Amino acid sequence: MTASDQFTSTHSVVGEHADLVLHHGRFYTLDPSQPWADAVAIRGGRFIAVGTLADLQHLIGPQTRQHDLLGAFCMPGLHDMHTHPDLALAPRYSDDLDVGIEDPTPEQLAAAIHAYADAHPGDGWIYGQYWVRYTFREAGLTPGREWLDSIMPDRPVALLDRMWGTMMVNSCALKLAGIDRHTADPRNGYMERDELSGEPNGLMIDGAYALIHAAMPPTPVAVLRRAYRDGVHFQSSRGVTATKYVHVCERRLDALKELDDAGELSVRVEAAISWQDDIFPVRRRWELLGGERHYYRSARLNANAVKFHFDGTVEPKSSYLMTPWAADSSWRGKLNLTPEHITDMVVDMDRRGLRVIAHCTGDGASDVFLDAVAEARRVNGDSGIRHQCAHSTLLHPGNLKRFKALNVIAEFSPAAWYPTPFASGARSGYGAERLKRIYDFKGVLAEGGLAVMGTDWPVASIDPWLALETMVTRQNPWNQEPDCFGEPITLEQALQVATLNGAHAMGLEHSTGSLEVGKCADLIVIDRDLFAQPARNYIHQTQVLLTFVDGRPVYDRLNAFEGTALQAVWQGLPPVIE
Amino acid sequence: MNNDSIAVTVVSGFLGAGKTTLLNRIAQQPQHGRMAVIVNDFGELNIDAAIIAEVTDAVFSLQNGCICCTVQEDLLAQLVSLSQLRPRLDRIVIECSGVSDPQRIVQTLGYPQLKAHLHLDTVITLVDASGYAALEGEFARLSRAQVACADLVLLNKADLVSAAELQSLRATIGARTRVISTVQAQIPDALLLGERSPRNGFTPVPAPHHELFESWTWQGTQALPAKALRDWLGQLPKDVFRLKGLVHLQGNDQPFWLQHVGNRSQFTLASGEHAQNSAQLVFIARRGSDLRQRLEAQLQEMQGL
Repeated sequence: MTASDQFTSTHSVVGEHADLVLHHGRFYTLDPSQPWADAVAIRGGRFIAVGTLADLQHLIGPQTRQHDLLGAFCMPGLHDMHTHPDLALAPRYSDDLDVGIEDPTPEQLAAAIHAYADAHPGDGWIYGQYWVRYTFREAGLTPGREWLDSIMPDRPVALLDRMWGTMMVNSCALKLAGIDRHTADPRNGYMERDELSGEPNGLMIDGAYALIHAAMPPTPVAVLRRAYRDGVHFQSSRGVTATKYVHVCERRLDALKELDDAGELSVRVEAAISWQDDIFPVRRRWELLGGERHYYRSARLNANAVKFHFDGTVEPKSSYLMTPWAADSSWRGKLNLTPEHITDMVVDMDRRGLRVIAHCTGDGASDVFLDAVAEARRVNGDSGIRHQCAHSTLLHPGNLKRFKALNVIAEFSPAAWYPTPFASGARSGYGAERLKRIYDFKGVLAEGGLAVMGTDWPVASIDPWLALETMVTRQNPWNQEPDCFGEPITLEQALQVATLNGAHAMGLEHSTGSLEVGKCADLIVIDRDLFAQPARNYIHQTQVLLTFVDGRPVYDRLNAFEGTALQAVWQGLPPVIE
Repeated sequence: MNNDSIAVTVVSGFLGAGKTTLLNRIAQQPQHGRMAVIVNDFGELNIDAAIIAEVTDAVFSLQNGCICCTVQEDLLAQLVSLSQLRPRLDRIVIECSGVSDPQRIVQTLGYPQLKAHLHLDTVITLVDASGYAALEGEFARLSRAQVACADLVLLNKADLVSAAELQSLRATIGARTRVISTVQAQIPDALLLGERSPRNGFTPVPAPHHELFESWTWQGTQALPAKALRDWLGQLPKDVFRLKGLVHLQGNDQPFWLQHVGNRSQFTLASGEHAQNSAQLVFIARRGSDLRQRLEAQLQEMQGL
């Protein structure tokens, strides 16, 4: 499975026959010179012929395996260009304290802490959730280090409150974090302190959580590996052959490398190193950016990207807009980093050969990003690196043409590009005018730009077929409501977005993304002709029968290759992970 | 920290509990100094057009100098800009959305960027006496959070329920909370709005006989031990609504402003203040609670006298 298994030198002997011929299929190739085909021949993981069975008869030798697709629809593998299985699954798999009561009294909380400590002996951290302030007030108690010390004095404890604004920690946790009355508050939060002594009282507000997280042991690699393993298993079973895990640290890369070495990395992965510590700390950031990332490199894995959070999100209206959110307000949202910081970093990362993936939900954030890329092009010349504007929830119409001009990828995530009760509420803050042009695939494509999709799990479903259907309908996939968010694109456009455009976004357009001779055989076989019925309520129900990467099945729903040399990594029904 | 620190009043309570009535009254009275009122929705305030002097963007300026604005997404940024207004504001009143936990706003006020300019005066939660008991699920939890966060609870619409119901409601929510029954959210300003530093010196708050509170001043002669004082404050009887003044604490050269409301005390370094006495405290307590002698004896004891 790993790259070395398929290593061929320029002097290797090449056989004259195909390893595998897939025939009697309905291949949608994404190759404009030959849009449809009936059969493909694969050798050494690559297509050596695409056409009719008659065309490639001469490539069938005694060792060639032939597989009859029984007329099934086939196409290039899907490209999910922004998602986070680690963030979705690792919390589920890590063994934190879960109090499990809606509003625990202090006694119930104390009992839960003791029970966890008994079940997890030693001196390790007790980390978990939730407590609420009001039960403390009702009991006449003050939450904080003093109370927590009285419950658990000799092990570090950190507990989040249910409204996600406060973390309560004990003295042991503060000590391990090196926090005392001289410790400065971060700008995005603070520590509550005793007014007379200035000592932190053990209540960490908002961004002050990070001071404690920095002292905690990171998520175990085994937990991360399990999360990624289940993630790639699901993605392979839903036809994804290439993806981007947009936020990694050295430990996440370790987990991915373990999967790769075990032959279980069944998807091509571009991993983006986090620039900020706002989700988890990255302890070896500059080592990774400076070159240590190459240690993880294989045919399946690279970490030649860096992820930034330029602005916030729609729900709290922290997306950075070019005009105020509402007519009666001057609030435009905010940038998390100064434009100068952004510009210097984009220029520097571009020079180092790293793709910048910039979270930009507001049109003001992407405007700053495009300016920064323009500066990188001016300073560095054309590095050939396509930088990626992530989410692109709202783009300024005047910037649509700059995606092509600056060779920047517009990546759209389906969190709310179609109406759902959640999305309709959350997006109402935009106002009617902006809502018409959210997630503007059509606008970017019309200007010749490269648009891709990224599911952004767990913000939205990781199922790429939901994204694919709703790109074409921009309507709710489960009902018949007429509401439509933004502008739909055609199925042909959507298929290109999800395949060939993704390959461009991976820098792999010469080796995957379409079914063409010379390219890697990354393809899927599905249970329906996508063009046979209207997209709505139809495409998202697609079942994937086979997923091939590098000419080998990685997913085999019906166990068609079981017991052969081509037995897939994953067989049977897709795992349930959502 | 300075004596010009803007006092912030947070008003919470469910829809229909009487927040608007209270806010309207506060906004239209001139004696509270220069004030900004942050509301969820202008429409609710129903401000008489005759008293509006100017309307710009999101801000109504009233003829009495009061500013009304709607709450912005980034309350922190909004408060920073309000605190920079000149002439300086004396008070900001923030209305919480009916279905929110005021603790969120209280936590925002604790941000270091704001602490130099403003301080939390009082969290007032209005409870609809006729509707509280019927709340269920998440609403019941939210209303408990609102009550628990409050320094003072106004049990409003008290005239709509029977004496027995009122009594039971007080028992439910009032174990540790200062609860005042009101009609039309009528409550004396002296209880509603605290002042950190006395404008008129340390004198009892005028309390005519028909008012529900009485007020007196205590003068100490010695610095007080911090821990004992805090323990004492934590144990104050429920009938003490407010306590404020200037105190010397043992081991500190500078005196502190002390402001106590409900169950919450705040000490603020009073730079440049020279207290004539080591402690001067103004009490505001329920009329007829007859606490003065007992509390003063405890303070005397604390002084080691």
